[in-house]
Amino acid sequence: MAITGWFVLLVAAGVVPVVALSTAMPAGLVLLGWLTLCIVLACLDLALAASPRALRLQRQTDSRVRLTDTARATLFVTNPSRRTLRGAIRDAWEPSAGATPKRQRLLVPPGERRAIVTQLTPWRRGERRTALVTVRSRGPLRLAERQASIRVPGAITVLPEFASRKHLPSRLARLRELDGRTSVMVRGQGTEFDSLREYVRGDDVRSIDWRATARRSGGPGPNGRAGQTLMVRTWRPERDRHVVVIVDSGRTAAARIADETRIDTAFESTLLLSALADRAGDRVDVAVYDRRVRGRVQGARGADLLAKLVETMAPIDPELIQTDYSAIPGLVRSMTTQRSLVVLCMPLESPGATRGLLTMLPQLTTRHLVLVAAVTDPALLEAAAQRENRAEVYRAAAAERALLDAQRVAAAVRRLGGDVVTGAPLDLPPAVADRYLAYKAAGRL
Amino acid sequence: MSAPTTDINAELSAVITTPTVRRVVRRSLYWGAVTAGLLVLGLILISINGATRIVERWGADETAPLGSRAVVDVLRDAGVDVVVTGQLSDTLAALDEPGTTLFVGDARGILDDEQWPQLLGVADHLVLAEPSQLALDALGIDALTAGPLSAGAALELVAECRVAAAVRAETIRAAGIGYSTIDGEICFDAGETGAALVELEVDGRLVTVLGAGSVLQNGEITRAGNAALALGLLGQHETLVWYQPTPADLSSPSFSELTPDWVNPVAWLALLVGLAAAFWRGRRFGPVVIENLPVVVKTTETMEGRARLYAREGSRLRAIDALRVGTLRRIAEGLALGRASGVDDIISAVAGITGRDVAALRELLVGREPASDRELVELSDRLLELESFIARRVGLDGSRDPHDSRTDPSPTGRMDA
Repeated sequence: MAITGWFVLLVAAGVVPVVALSTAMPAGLVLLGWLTLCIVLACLDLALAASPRALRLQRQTDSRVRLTDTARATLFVTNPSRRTLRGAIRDAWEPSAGATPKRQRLLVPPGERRAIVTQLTPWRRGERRTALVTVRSRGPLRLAERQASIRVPGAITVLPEFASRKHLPSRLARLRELDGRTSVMVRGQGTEFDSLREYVRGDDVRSIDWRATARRSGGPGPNGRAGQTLMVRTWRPERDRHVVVIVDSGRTAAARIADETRIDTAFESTLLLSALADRAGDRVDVAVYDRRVRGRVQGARGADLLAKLVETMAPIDPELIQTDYSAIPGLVRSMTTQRSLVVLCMPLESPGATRGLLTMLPQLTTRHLVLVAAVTDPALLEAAAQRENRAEVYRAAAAERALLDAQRVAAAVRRLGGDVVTGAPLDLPPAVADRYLAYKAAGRL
Repeated sequence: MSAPTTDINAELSAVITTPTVRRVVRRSLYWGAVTAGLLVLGLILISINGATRIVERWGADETAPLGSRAVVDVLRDAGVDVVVTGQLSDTLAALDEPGTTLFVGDARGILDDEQWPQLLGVADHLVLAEPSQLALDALGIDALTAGPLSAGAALELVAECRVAAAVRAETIRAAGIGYSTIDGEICFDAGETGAALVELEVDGRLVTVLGAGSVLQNGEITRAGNAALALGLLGQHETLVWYQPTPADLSSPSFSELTPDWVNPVAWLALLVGLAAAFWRGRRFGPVVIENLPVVVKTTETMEGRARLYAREGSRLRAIDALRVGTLRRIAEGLALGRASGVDDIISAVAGITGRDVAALRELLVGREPASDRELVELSDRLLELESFIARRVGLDGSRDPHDSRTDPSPTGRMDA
């Protein structure tokens, strides 16, 4: 039950009879009479209002939405009673589902159905739920409302934003260049011979295959003349390589850098790298790990890969436990047998915190090409450059110390045979993709 | 991972979480019954023991030690017609026939100087219990308050006068106010603090000022000759009017008399409107939604903590060394000296570029130990200045970002592996 502002006004209007009738009869009695009248009217109104309990509710929600995108959650309200239902409805989504409007007017004539549409613009990854729908039904006198909360569960999966997908076209263009599909041909170590084709103006003259040209000119030319067509070799980079991405979901991944947690940056990097590597014809396997495997995508290709990845990543939040680095070599062994590119999305901070990582790294580097993708904190750089007064100088010194620590750890990783790529949260995904392309171009995979 | 939520389009059985009125009533029945039971129990206890209330001194129905029900009952048993009044008009109405004693016990000081004189000359015998000086002045009788009869314990006083009741009482145990008089008869004289009883004649009527008010109280009446004095004073005539002024006697108009009688109901109405408005605005539109949010861990906490530690301990050398290492690193990167280059290589390279003295550069970049925080700030400023100078010289200004992962010059992307 709820009352409206009109009821409050009605009670307040009692001042008129109380004052006006005070000469004729005791004011206290008038007051009591007025209050009784108000309550009787409210009860009458309640009795005449359509019952919100009788409503039939149906939900139709988009099953998934990418973070920062907007989805529709529709609620169908059927009024089986003989009275018109007037009032308001609230679909109680979790706050981070970003539901607007939060409450809406409701008018359902008897026996009819209405759709209530809520726009969802979530600002947090994972599964956003709603459980209750609250309906208020107003009486014809507009004095009182019947209220009921009805359990109609619903959920929407909020996928990672994949904001770095804007970097994908330029990287794919680079990949095509590598692939020999454009006129520019790169011939590098480890690239594979792809095909022979006719020379067109602009091709690198170094890639002319004289032997094939000679063979071709052996036969009669199109119009009887020989030696008119030069043949060039095209190359394509290695294909069918294996890329293994391990994302750390331990306590350090919960750290928020420039308004993005480390795990989100790692997911972005993983998505961009996977999209790129998949187009390049490589196999991508991903595992999210802290002390147990929180999510794993293996053997998926093409559009399926990205879909599976975002589905897997959506509900994973960092756990507040220390990652067990010593088990990572075993995890990688279980995912691949051939030499692979192993990308570790892990923080490189202080030597102390990274000891576990450094200890297990040699086991990986002997078999695989290891790349550690670490997020650096732009705030550290800012603090290091800000030296106006005494406190800020000490702060800058501490920031420099932290940067130095990170550098030392990176140097240690390099000494152990790994490779390091670092960047601010927004720069890291393209940097990882670029490093992958560099490997590809150099034939190091 | 969570199950992918495909189109939820199923008709869901309506589970209504808001309880019906009937269920609310049924659920609250137990506690309602408990509350009602406790209320009833409390009422019963109050009706048995009596509620806490202010005990009125000389109250005719008061059984507490301060009251006077004992005297009144004994007088009634002895055939005296005791009329208890609480208002001046009732009192005057009760005094219409001769042969009456009027007892006035104005313990609360309610009567004012216009009401007191009306009590004079209406009864054969007027007994005033501990009247104030204001009352005596208003009555215009020959008596003055002298002082408190006792400090703490009651006094044992002897009659020593010609008042019959006092003589019969012989001695009393008195507590109250002492009075002095010029022409009147004094009994139970306590010396400097005045007498416990003064008897005067005003316009041919007897007026007794009883300073020892304790004589009439239930708690004291059995002591010494107290009972004899009380009964002797009050039982002389057939009728005794026992008048205790109540707030109804207040002559100044009360607040409720000055305001129209709708003011109170309107105030109540305002309160109820406020309550209704509170319910209107405060009624929740369904329960609060609970969401588990992830923890927010700030990465800069370690850095901030370390900075505070440096500042508190005054570790200037450590601080400046950190700054120097950063500067050296950035210069080495800016000059493309490679990661393996030592301090001396960097210094000589810097000297070559800037044309500054090697010794001075060495002092700045390695040697000098800041003795004070001021020196530390100054050194840090000079380091920054040197950095920006070199950056300008090399033409890297604006692109200086050592942590940017821009592609390394070597195609392998590695410099030292």
